[in-house]
Amino acid sequence: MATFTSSQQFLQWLQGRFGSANFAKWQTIRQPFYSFVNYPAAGANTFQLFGFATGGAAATNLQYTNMPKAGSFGQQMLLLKSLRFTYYWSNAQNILNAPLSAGAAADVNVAAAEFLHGFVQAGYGELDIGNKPYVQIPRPFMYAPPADGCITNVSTFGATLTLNNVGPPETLAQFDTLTDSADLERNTENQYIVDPPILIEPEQSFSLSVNYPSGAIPLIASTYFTNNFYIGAVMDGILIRPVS
Amino acid sequence: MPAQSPAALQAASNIAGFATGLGNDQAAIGLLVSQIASADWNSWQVVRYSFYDYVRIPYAAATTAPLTFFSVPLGQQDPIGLFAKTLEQTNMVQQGQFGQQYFVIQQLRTHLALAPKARQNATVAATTNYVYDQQVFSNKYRNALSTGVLQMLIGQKLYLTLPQPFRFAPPGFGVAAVAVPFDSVVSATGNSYLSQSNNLSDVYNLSPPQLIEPAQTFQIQITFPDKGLSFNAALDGAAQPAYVDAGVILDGYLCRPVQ
Repeated sequence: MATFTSSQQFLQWLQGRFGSANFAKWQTIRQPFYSFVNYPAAGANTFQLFGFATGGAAATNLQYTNMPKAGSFGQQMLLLKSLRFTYYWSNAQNILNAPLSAGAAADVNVAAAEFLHGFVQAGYGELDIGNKPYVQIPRPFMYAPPADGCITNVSTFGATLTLNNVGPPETLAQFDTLTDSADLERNTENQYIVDPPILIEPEQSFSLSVNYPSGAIPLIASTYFTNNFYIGAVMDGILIRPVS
Repeated sequence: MPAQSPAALQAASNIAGFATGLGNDQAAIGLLVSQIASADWNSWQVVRYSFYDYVRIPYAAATTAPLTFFSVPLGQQDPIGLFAKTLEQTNMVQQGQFGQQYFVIQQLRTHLALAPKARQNATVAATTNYVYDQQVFSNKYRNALSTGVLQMLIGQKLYLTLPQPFRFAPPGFGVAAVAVPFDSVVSATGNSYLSQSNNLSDVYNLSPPQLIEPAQTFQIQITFPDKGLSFNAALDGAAQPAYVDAGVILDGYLCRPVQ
Protein backbone atom coordinates (compact mmCIF):
# COMPACT_ATOMS: atom_id res chain seq x y z
CA MET A 1 0.00 0.00 0.00
CA ALA A 2 1.15 3.45 -0.77
CA THR A 3 1.17 6.18 1.81
CA PHE A 4 1.01 9.88 1.10
CA THR A 5 1.88 13.09 2.78
CA SER A 6 -0.16 15.45 0.63
CA SER A 7 -3.11 15.45 -1.72
CA GLN A 8 -0.88 16.57 -4.55
CA GLN A 9 1.32 13.58 -4.06
CA PHE A 10 -1.70 11.32 -4.07
CA LEU A 11 -2.98 12.81 -7.35
CA GLN A 12 0.42 12.33 -8.92
CA TRP A 13 0.36 8.74 -7.89
CA LEU A 14 -3.12 8.29 -9.34
CA GLN A 15 -2.06 9.81 -12.63
CA GLY A 16 1.00 7.63 -12.79
CA ARG A 17 -0.97 4.59 -11.95
CA PHE A 18 -3.94 5.05 -14.24
CA GLY A 19 -2.38 6.92 -17.09
CA SER A 20 -5.14 8.12 -19.36
CA ALA A 21 -7.94 7.58 -16.88
CA ASN A 22 -10.65 10.16 -17.16
CA PHE A 23 -10.59 11.75 -13.76
CA ALA A 24 -13.77 13.59 -14.53
CA LYS A 25 -15.45 10.26 -13.96
CA TRP A 26 -14.04 9.72 -10.51
CA GLN A 27 -15.71 11.19 -7.52
CA THR A 28 -14.19 11.87 -4.13
CA ILE A 29 -16.28 12.19 -1.01
CA ARG A 30 -15.67 11.81 2.69
CA GLN A 31 -17.05 8.49 3.81
CA PRO A 32 -16.58 6.59 7.05
CA PHE A 33 -16.85 2.80 6.95
CA TYR A 34 -17.81 1.00 10.13
CA SER A 35 -18.26 -2.47 11.48
CA PHE A 36 -19.55 -3.78 14.81
CA VAL A 37 -19.50 -7.31 16.20
CA ASN A 38 -21.08 -8.77 19.31
CA TYR A 39 -19.04 -8.92 22.52
CA PRO A 40 -20.04 -12.14 24.28
CA ALA A 41 -20.34 -12.41 28.06
CA ALA A 42 -17.19 -14.51 28.29
CA GLY A 43 -15.21 -12.23 25.97
CA ALA A 44 -13.05 -13.58 23.17
CA ASN A 45 -9.43 -13.62 22.14
CA THR A 46 -10.05 -11.99 18.77
CA PHE A 47 -12.73 -9.79 17.29
CA GLN A 48 -12.48 -9.58 13.53
CA LEU A 49 -14.06 -6.41 12.20
CA PHE A 50 -15.08 -5.55 8.63
CA GLY A 51 -15.41 -9.24 7.94
CA PHE A 52 -18.98 -9.08 6.67
CA ALA A 53 -20.96 -6.91 4.29
CA THR A 54 -24.25 -5.15 4.90
CA GLY A 55 -27.07 -7.64 4.83
CA GLY A 56 -30.59 -8.15 5.91
CA ALA A 57 -29.89 -10.60 8.70
CA ALA A 58 -29.77 -9.61 12.34
CA ALA A 59 -26.61 -7.76 13.33
CA THR A 60 -25.56 -7.28 9.71
CA ASN A 61 -27.86 -4.41 8.78
CA LEU A 62 -26.73 -0.82 8.34
CA GLN A 63 -26.62 -0.27 12.08
CA TYR A 64 -23.72 -2.72 12.22
CA THR A 65 -21.81 -2.17 9.00
CA ASN A 66 -21.85 -0.30 5.71
CA MET A 67 -19.24 -2.45 4.03
CA PRO A 68 -20.01 -3.27 0.40
CA LYS A 69 -17.97 -6.47 0.60
CA ALA A 70 -16.41 -8.56 3.31
CA GLY A 71 -12.85 -7.44 3.90
CA SER A 72 -12.53 -4.96 1.04
CA PHE A 73 -14.15 -1.83 -0.35
CA GLY A 74 -14.93 -3.41 -3.67
CA GLN A 75 -14.36 -1.39 -6.84
CA GLN A 76 -13.48 1.82 -5.09
CA MET A 77 -10.60 3.26 -3.14
CA LEU A 78 -10.44 4.62 0.36
CA LEU A 79 -7.81 7.08 1.46
CA LEU A 80 -7.77 6.23 5.15
CA LYS A 81 -7.28 9.32 7.28
CA SER A 82 -8.45 8.36 10.77
CA LEU A 83 -9.32 5.35 12.82
CA ARG A 84 -11.70 5.04 15.77
CA PHE A 85 -12.53 2.12 18.01
CA THR A 86 -15.92 2.37 19.63
CA TYR A 87 -18.96 0.41 20.75
CA TYR A 88 -22.67 0.09 20.20
CA TRP A 89 -25.38 -0.91 22.64
CA SER A 90 -28.47 -2.31 21.05
CA ASN A 91 -30.32 -1.69 24.30
CA ALA A 92 -28.71 1.39 25.72
CA GLN A 93 -31.53 3.06 27.60
CA ASN A 94 -30.55 4.22 31.06
CA ILE A 95 -27.26 2.41 31.05
CA LEU A 96 -24.91 5.13 32.17
CA ASN A 97 -26.00 6.77 35.38
CA ALA A 98 -28.53 4.02 35.84
CA PRO A 99 -30.00 3.95 39.33
CA LEU A 100 -29.28 0.67 41.02
CA SER A 101 -31.22 -1.23 43.57
CA ALA A 102 -30.61 -0.20 47.15
CA GLY A 103 -27.57 -1.83 48.63
CA ALA A 104 -26.59 -3.46 45.37
CA ALA A 105 -22.86 -2.91 45.72
CA ALA A 106 -21.89 -5.38 43.07
CA ASP A 107 -19.85 -5.01 39.91
CA VAL A 108 -22.52 -6.68 37.82
CA ASN A 109 -24.60 -3.56 38.35
CA VAL A 110 -21.90 -1.00 37.55
CA ALA A 111 -21.87 -0.09 33.89
CA ALA A 112 -18.71 1.98 34.38
CA ALA A 113 -16.84 -1.18 35.34
CA GLU A 114 -16.48 -2.18 31.69
CA PHE A 115 -14.54 0.99 30.97
CA LEU A 116 -12.55 1.20 34.19
CA HIS A 117 -11.67 -2.45 34.71
CA GLY A 118 -12.78 -4.40 31.67
CA PHE A 119 -12.13 -4.84 27.97
CA VAL A 120 -11.19 -1.18 27.45
CA GLN A 121 -8.12 -1.58 29.65
CA ALA A 122 -6.53 -4.43 27.71
CA GLY A 123 -5.85 -5.82 24.27
CA TYR A 124 -4.39 -4.39 21.11
CA GLY A 125 -5.75 -3.26 17.77
CA GLU A 126 -4.26 -4.09 14.41
CA LEU A 127 -4.94 -3.03 10.84
CA ASP A 128 -3.45 -5.34 8.25
CA ILE A 129 -3.49 -4.55 4.55
CA GLY A 130 -2.62 -7.60 2.60
CA ASN A 131 -0.84 -9.35 5.40
CA LYS A 132 1.26 -6.42 6.49
CA PRO A 133 0.53 -4.51 9.70
CA TYR A 134 -0.09 -0.81 9.18
CA VAL A 135 -1.44 0.04 12.61
CA GLN A 136 -0.64 -1.84 15.79
CA ILE A 137 -1.68 -0.08 18.98
CA PRO A 138 -2.17 -1.08 22.62
CA ARG A 139 -5.50 -0.54 24.39
CA PRO A 140 -7.19 0.43 21.12
CA PHE A 141 -10.40 1.78 22.69
CA MET A 142 -8.33 4.36 24.55
CA TYR A 143 -5.50 4.88 22.08
CA ALA A 144 -7.83 5.40 19.14
CA PRO A 145 -11.08 6.45 20.84
CA PRO A 146 -14.36 7.35 19.12
CA ALA A 147 -13.50 11.05 19.50
CA ASP A 148 -16.84 11.96 18.00
CA GLY A 149 -17.37 15.03 20.11
CA CYS A 150 -20.44 13.67 21.79
CA ILE A 151 -21.14 15.61 24.95
CA THR A 152 -21.38 13.41 27.99
CA ASN A 153 -23.12 14.88 30.98
CA VAL A 154 -22.13 13.20 34.22
CA SER A 155 -24.69 13.24 36.96
CA THR A 156 -23.50 11.24 39.90
CA PHE A 157 -25.85 11.66 42.78
CA GLY A 158 -28.30 9.09 43.83
CA ALA A 159 -28.23 7.62 47.27
CA THR A 160 -29.79 5.29 49.73
CA LEU A 161 -29.38 5.74 53.42
CA THR A 162 -30.08 2.95 55.86
CA LEU A 163 -30.41 3.63 59.56
CA ASN A 164 -29.94 1.18 62.39
CA ASN A 165 -33.23 2.14 64.02
CA VAL A 166 -31.70 2.10 67.48
CA GLY A 167 -32.07 5.80 68.23
CA PRO A 168 -32.41 8.35 69.33
CA PRO A 169 -29.75 9.27 68.49
CA GLU A 170 -30.08 7.35 65.23
CA THR A 171 -26.97 5.73 63.75
CA LEU A 172 -26.05 5.11 60.15
CA ALA A 173 -25.98 1.54 58.96
CA GLN A 174 -25.23 1.97 55.29
CA PHE A 175 -24.84 4.68 52.71
CA ASP A 176 -24.62 4.08 48.99
CA THR A 177 -24.26 6.27 45.98
CA LEU A 178 -26.01 4.35 43.34
CA THR A 179 -24.98 5.96 40.13
CA ASP A 180 -21.85 5.52 38.09
CA SER A 181 -20.47 6.77 34.83
CA ALA A 182 -17.54 6.23 32.50
CA ASP A 183 -17.14 6.39 28.77
CA LEU A 184 -14.58 6.34 26.02
CA GLU A 185 -12.87 9.62 25.18
CA ARG A 186 -15.16 11.81 23.05
CA ASN A 187 -12.88 14.76 22.58
CA THR A 188 -12.27 15.15 18.86
CA GLU A 189 -8.70 16.22 19.53
CA ASN A 190 -7.99 12.68 20.69
CA GLN A 191 -8.80 11.21 17.29
CA TYR A 192 -6.21 8.78 15.93
CA ILE A 193 -4.97 10.36 12.73
CA VAL A 194 -3.51 8.10 10.08
CA ASP A 195 -0.60 10.26 9.00
CA PRO A 196 0.40 9.99 6.23
CA PRO A 197 -2.96 8.71 4.97
CA ILE A 198 -3.05 5.19 3.59
CA LEU A 199 -4.66 4.37 0.28
CA ILE A 200 -6.56 1.11 0.17
CA GLU A 201 -7.01 0.12 -3.43
CA PRO A 202 -9.98 -1.55 -5.12
CA GLU A 203 -10.44 -5.16 -4.02
CA GLN A 204 -7.44 -4.88 -1.74
CA SER A 205 -8.12 -7.16 1.21
CA PHE A 206 -7.60 -5.80 4.67
CA SER A 207 -8.49 -6.76 8.21
CA LEU A 208 -9.01 -4.77 11.34
CA SER A 209 -9.07 -6.65 14.61
CA VAL A 210 -9.23 -6.19 18.36
CA ASN A 211 -7.25 -8.89 20.12
CA TYR A 212 -6.78 -10.12 23.67
CA PRO A 213 -3.90 -12.57 23.31
CA SER A 214 -3.25 -12.66 27.07
CA GLY A 215 -6.73 -13.98 27.69
CA ALA A 216 -10.34 -13.07 27.01
CA ILE A 217 -11.89 -10.33 29.15
CA PRO A 218 -15.37 -11.30 30.33
CA LEU A 219 -18.06 -8.68 30.67
CA ILE A 220 -18.29 -7.32 34.21
CA ALA A 221 -21.57 -5.41 34.23
CA SER A 222 -23.53 -8.34 32.97
CA THR A 223 -26.80 -6.86 34.22
CA TYR A 224 -26.73 -4.46 31.32
CA PHE A 225 -24.43 -5.77 28.65
CA THR A 226 -25.05 -9.45 28.08
CA ASN A 227 -26.28 -10.17 24.56
CA ASN A 228 -26.64 -6.54 23.50
CA PHE A 229 -23.15 -5.11 23.47
CA TYR A 230 -21.11 -4.66 20.31
CA ILE A 231 -17.59 -3.39 19.73
CA GLY A 232 -16.46 -1.92 16.48
CA ALA A 233 -14.36 0.49 14.56
CA VAL A 234 -14.76 3.32 12.10
CA MET A 235 -12.36 3.84 9.22
CA ASP A 236 -12.80 7.42 8.12
CA GLY A 237 -11.38 8.93 5.00
CA ILE A 238 -11.91 9.93 1.41
CA LEU A 239 -13.74 7.53 -0.85
CA ILE A 240 -12.74 7.59 -4.50
CA ARG A 241 -15.32 5.91 -6.66
CA PRO A 242 -16.18 5.77 -10.36
CA VAL A 243 -19.27 7.58 -11.54
CA SER A 244 -21.07 7.25 -14.81
CA MET B 1 1.56 -3.04 -4.36
CA PRO B 2 2.51 0.44 -5.52
CA ALA B 3 5.97 1.71 -4.90
CA GLN B 4 6.71 4.57 -2.59
CA SER B 5 8.29 7.40 -4.50
CA PRO B 6 11.48 9.16 -3.44
CA ALA B 7 9.43 12.33 -3.22
CA ALA B 8 7.07 10.67 -0.79
CA LEU B 9 9.93 9.56 1.38
CA GLN B 10 11.40 12.99 1.36
CA ALA B 11 8.07 14.58 2.11
CA ALA B 12 7.57 12.23 5.01
CA SER B 13 10.97 13.04 6.32
CA ASN B 14 10.13 16.68 6.05
CA ILE B 15 7.13 16.07 8.26
CA ALA B 16 9.15 14.00 10.63
CA GLY B 17 11.95 16.50 10.66
CA PHE B 18 14.62 13.87 11.16
CA ALA B 19 16.78 14.84 14.08
CA THR B 20 20.26 13.51 13.92
CA GLY B 21 22.11 16.45 15.22
CA LEU B 22 22.73 17.55 11.62
CA GLY B 23 20.49 20.55 11.95
CA ASN B 24 17.92 20.25 9.16
CA ASP B 25 15.92 17.86 7.07
CA GLN B 26 18.13 18.14 4.03
CA ALA B 27 21.13 17.12 6.02
CA ALA B 28 19.19 14.21 7.46
CA ILE B 29 18.17 13.02 4.00
CA GLY B 30 21.79 13.32 2.93
CA LEU B 31 22.76 11.17 5.85
CA LEU B 32 20.14 8.59 4.97
CA VAL B 33 21.19 8.44 1.35
CA SER B 34 24.85 8.11 2.26
CA GLN B 35 24.10 5.34 4.70
CA ILE B 36 21.77 3.39 2.47
CA ALA B 37 23.99 3.83 -0.56
CA SER B 38 22.40 2.00 -3.47
CA ALA B 39 19.15 1.15 -1.72
CA ASP B 40 16.09 1.41 -3.91
CA TRP B 41 14.09 4.25 -2.42
CA ASN B 42 11.08 3.20 -4.41
CA SER B 43 10.88 0.22 -2.10
CA TRP B 44 10.71 2.15 1.14
CA GLN B 45 7.49 3.07 2.82
CA VAL B 46 6.68 5.60 5.54
CA VAL B 47 3.79 4.98 7.91
CA ARG B 48 2.73 6.28 11.28
CA TYR B 49 3.50 3.58 13.79
CA SER B 50 3.72 2.92 17.51
CA PHE B 51 6.12 0.72 19.39
CA TYR B 52 5.10 -0.11 22.92
CA ASP B 53 6.27 -2.14 25.87
CA TYR B 54 4.50 -2.81 29.16
CA VAL B 55 6.22 -4.37 32.17
CA ARG B 56 4.64 -5.67 35.36
CA ILE B 57 5.57 -3.60 38.40
CA PRO B 58 6.89 -5.64 41.36
CA TYR B 59 3.94 -6.17 43.68
CA ALA B 60 5.12 -8.47 46.47
CA ALA B 61 6.40 -5.50 48.46
CA ALA B 62 7.11 -1.82 48.04
CA THR B 63 9.95 -1.42 45.57
CA THR B 64 12.50 0.99 44.18
CA ALA B 65 13.68 -1.50 41.55
CA PRO B 66 14.09 0.20 38.17
CA LEU B 67 11.66 -0.57 35.36
CA THR B 68 13.39 -1.40 32.10
CA PHE B 69 11.49 -1.13 28.83
CA PHE B 70 11.97 -2.65 25.38
CA SER B 71 14.34 -5.24 26.80
CA VAL B 72 12.00 -8.25 26.91
CA PRO B 73 10.57 -8.78 23.42
CA LEU B 74 7.46 -10.55 22.24
CA GLY B 75 7.14 -14.15 23.40
CA GLN B 76 9.64 -13.92 26.23
CA GLN B 77 8.75 -14.00 29.88
CA ASP B 78 7.98 -10.90 31.89
CA PRO B 79 10.36 -11.22 34.88
CA ILE B 80 7.77 -10.09 37.44
CA GLY B 81 4.48 -11.26 35.98
CA LEU B 82 6.03 -14.56 34.82
CA PHE B 83 3.79 -14.61 31.74
CA ALA B 84 4.92 -14.80 28.15
CA LYS B 85 4.62 -11.38 26.60
CA THR B 86 2.03 -11.08 23.88
CA LEU B 87 1.11 -8.21 21.59
CA GLU B 88 -0.98 -6.92 24.45
CA GLN B 89 2.24 -6.06 26.27
CA THR B 90 4.70 -5.32 23.48
CA ASN B 91 5.18 -5.30 19.74
CA MET B 92 8.96 -5.38 19.94
CA VAL B 93 10.31 -8.44 18.19
CA GLN B 94 13.92 -7.76 19.10
CA GLN B 95 15.53 -6.64 22.31
CA GLY B 96 16.28 -2.93 22.36
CA GLN B 97 16.13 -2.27 18.61
CA PHE B 98 13.68 -1.94 15.75
CA GLY B 99 15.52 -4.22 13.36
CA GLN B 100 16.14 -3.30 9.73
CA GLN B 101 13.98 -0.22 9.63
CA TYR B 102 14.11 3.38 10.65
CA PHE B 103 11.90 4.85 13.30
CA VAL B 104 11.42 8.54 13.94
CA ILE B 105 10.19 9.06 17.49
CA GLN B 106 7.76 11.96 17.58
CA GLN B 107 6.12 11.33 20.94
CA LEU B 108 6.87 9.48 24.12
CA ARG B 109 4.03 8.38 26.36
CA THR B 110 4.05 6.54 29.66
CA HIS B 111 1.08 4.56 30.87
CA LEU B 112 0.58 3.45 34.45
CA ALA B 113 -2.16 0.91 33.98
CA LEU B 114 -4.04 -1.06 36.58
CA ALA B 115 -4.58 -4.44 34.96
CA PRO B 116 -8.23 -5.25 34.23
CA LYS B 117 -10.13 -7.14 36.87
CA ALA B 118 -9.84 -10.35 34.88
CA ARG B 119 -6.03 -10.00 34.84
CA GLN B 120 -5.68 -9.59 38.64
CA ASN B 121 -4.90 -12.52 40.93
CA ALA B 122 -7.62 -15.12 41.43
CA THR B 123 -8.84 -13.69 44.72
CA VAL B 124 -9.24 -10.19 43.35
CA ALA B 125 -10.74 -11.40 40.08
CA ALA B 126 -13.39 -13.23 42.06
CA THR B 127 -14.48 -10.24 44.16
CA THR B 128 -17.92 -8.99 43.31
CA ASN B 129 -17.45 -5.40 44.50
CA TYR B 130 -14.14 -4.55 42.87
CA VAL B 131 -15.31 -1.18 41.53
CA TYR B 132 -16.49 -0.05 44.94
CA ASP B 133 -13.17 -0.76 46.59
CA GLN B 134 -10.53 1.37 44.88
CA GLN B 135 -9.72 3.92 47.56
CA VAL B 136 -6.52 2.32 48.87
CA PHE B 137 -5.33 1.64 45.36
CA SER B 138 -6.02 5.22 44.29
CA ASN B 139 -3.84 6.59 47.08
CA LYS B 140 -0.97 4.36 46.01
CA TYR B 141 -1.53 5.25 42.38
CA ARG B 142 -1.38 8.96 43.17
CA ASN B 143 1.94 8.46 44.93
CA ALA B 144 3.27 6.48 41.99
CA LEU B 145 2.39 9.26 39.56
CA SER B 146 4.67 11.62 41.43
CA THR B 147 7.81 9.56 41.54
CA GLY B 148 10.51 8.20 39.25
CA VAL B 149 12.91 9.45 36.60
CA LEU B 150 12.80 8.29 32.98
CA GLN B 151 15.97 8.09 30.94
CA MET B 152 16.46 7.10 27.31
CA LEU B 153 19.80 5.90 26.07
CA ILE B 154 20.63 5.45 22.40
CA GLY B 155 23.71 3.37 22.15
CA GLN B 156 25.38 4.33 25.42
CA LYS B 157 24.53 8.00 25.14
CA LEU B 158 21.88 9.67 27.25
CA TYR B 159 19.25 11.41 25.12
CA LEU B 160 16.44 12.15 27.54
CA THR B 161 15.89 12.59 31.27
CA LEU B 162 12.37 13.24 32.52
CA PRO B 163 11.30 13.68 36.14
CA GLN B 164 7.98 12.23 37.29
CA PRO B 165 7.46 10.64 33.90
CA PHE B 166 3.97 9.35 34.59
CA ARG B 167 2.88 12.97 34.96
CA PHE B 168 5.32 14.64 32.59
CA ALA B 169 4.74 12.23 29.71
CA PRO B 170 1.15 11.00 30.10
CA PRO B 171 -0.50 8.65 27.60
CA GLY B 172 -2.92 11.28 26.32
CA PHE B 173 -5.63 8.66 26.29
CA GLY B 174 -7.94 7.13 28.82
CA VAL B 175 -11.48 6.86 30.02
CA ALA B 176 -13.69 9.93 30.23
CA ALA B 177 -16.66 11.16 32.24
CA VAL B 178 -15.93 8.97 35.22
CA ALA B 179 -18.03 8.84 38.36
CA VAL B 180 -17.52 5.84 40.61
CA PRO B 181 -20.09 4.49 43.01
CA PHE B 182 -19.66 4.30 46.76
CA ASP B 183 -20.87 1.82 49.34
CA SER B 184 -20.10 2.32 53.00
CA VAL B 185 -20.15 -1.39 53.75
CA VAL B 186 -17.57 -2.25 51.11
CA SER B 187 -15.30 0.71 51.68
CA ALA B 188 -15.60 2.75 54.84
CA THR B 189 -12.98 5.21 53.64
CA GLY B 190 -14.61 6.23 50.39
CA ASN B 191 -13.97 5.49 46.76
CA SER B 192 -12.18 7.32 44.00
CA TYR B 193 -10.76 7.08 40.53
CA LEU B 194 -7.56 8.63 39.29
CA SER B 195 -5.82 8.58 35.96
CA GLN B 196 -3.05 10.16 33.96
CA SER B 197 -3.96 12.92 31.54
CA ASN B 198 -6.36 11.96 28.75
CA ASN B 199 -5.54 15.07 26.82
CA LEU B 200 -3.60 14.39 23.65
CA SER B 201 -2.00 17.82 23.79
CA ASP B 202 -0.32 16.85 27.08
CA VAL B 203 1.67 14.06 25.46
CA TYR B 204 5.41 14.61 25.55
CA ASN B 205 6.59 15.65 22.09
CA LEU B 206 10.18 15.14 21.09
CA SER B 207 11.16 18.32 19.36
CA PRO B 208 13.17 17.85 17.27
CA PRO B 209 12.08 14.26 16.67
CA GLN B 210 14.58 11.52 17.31
CA LEU B 211 15.68 9.15 14.56
CA ILE B 212 16.58 5.60 15.53
CA GLU B 213 18.52 3.92 12.75
CA PRO B 214 18.32 0.26 11.71
CA ALA B 215 19.75 -2.08 14.32
CA GLN B 216 20.58 0.84 16.59
CA THR B 217 20.23 -0.28 20.19
CA PHE B 218 18.37 1.84 22.70
CA GLN B 219 17.01 1.52 26.18
CA ILE B 220 14.39 3.28 28.25
CA GLN B 221 14.39 2.95 31.99
CA ILE B 222 12.46 4.47 34.88
CA THR B 223 14.44 4.58 38.09
CA PHE B 224 13.29 5.52 41.57
CA PRO B 225 16.21 7.21 43.31
CA ASP B 226 13.99 8.57 46.06
CA LYS B 227 10.48 7.22 46.61
CA GLY B 228 9.48 3.96 45.00
CA LEU B 229 6.25 2.19 44.13
CA SER B 230 3.95 0.40 46.52
CA PHE B 231 1.22 -1.69 44.98
CA ASN B 232 1.28 -4.44 47.58
CA ALA B 233 -1.81 -4.53 49.80
CA ALA B 234 -3.78 -2.31 47.47
CA LEU B 235 -6.93 -4.21 46.51
CA ASP B 236 -9.66 -6.27 48.14
CA GLY B 237 -9.73 -4.20 51.31
CA ALA B 238 -5.94 -3.82 51.20
CA ALA B 239 -5.58 -7.58 51.53
CA GLN B 240 -4.27 -8.26 48.04
CA PRO B 241 -1.59 -6.77 45.80
CA ALA B 242 -2.55 -4.83 42.71
CA TYR B 243 -1.19 -5.95 39.37
CA VAL B 244 -0.14 -2.75 37.68
CA ASP B 245 1.68 -2.52 34.36
CA ALA B 246 3.91 0.37 33.43
CA GLY B 247 4.14 1.06 29.73
CA VAL B 248 6.17 3.24 27.43
CA ILE B 249 4.77 4.00 23.99
CA LEU B 250 6.86 5.53 21.24
CA ASP B 251 4.77 7.10 18.52
CA GLY B 252 6.28 8.25 15.26
CA TYR B 253 7.08 7.39 11.67
CA LEU B 254 8.30 4.00 10.60
CA CYS B 255 10.38 3.86 7.44
CA ARG B 256 10.49 0.27 6.28
CA PRO B 257 11.42 -1.64 3.16
CA VAL B 258 8.60 -3.08 1.11
CA GLN B 259 8.50 -5.35 -1.89
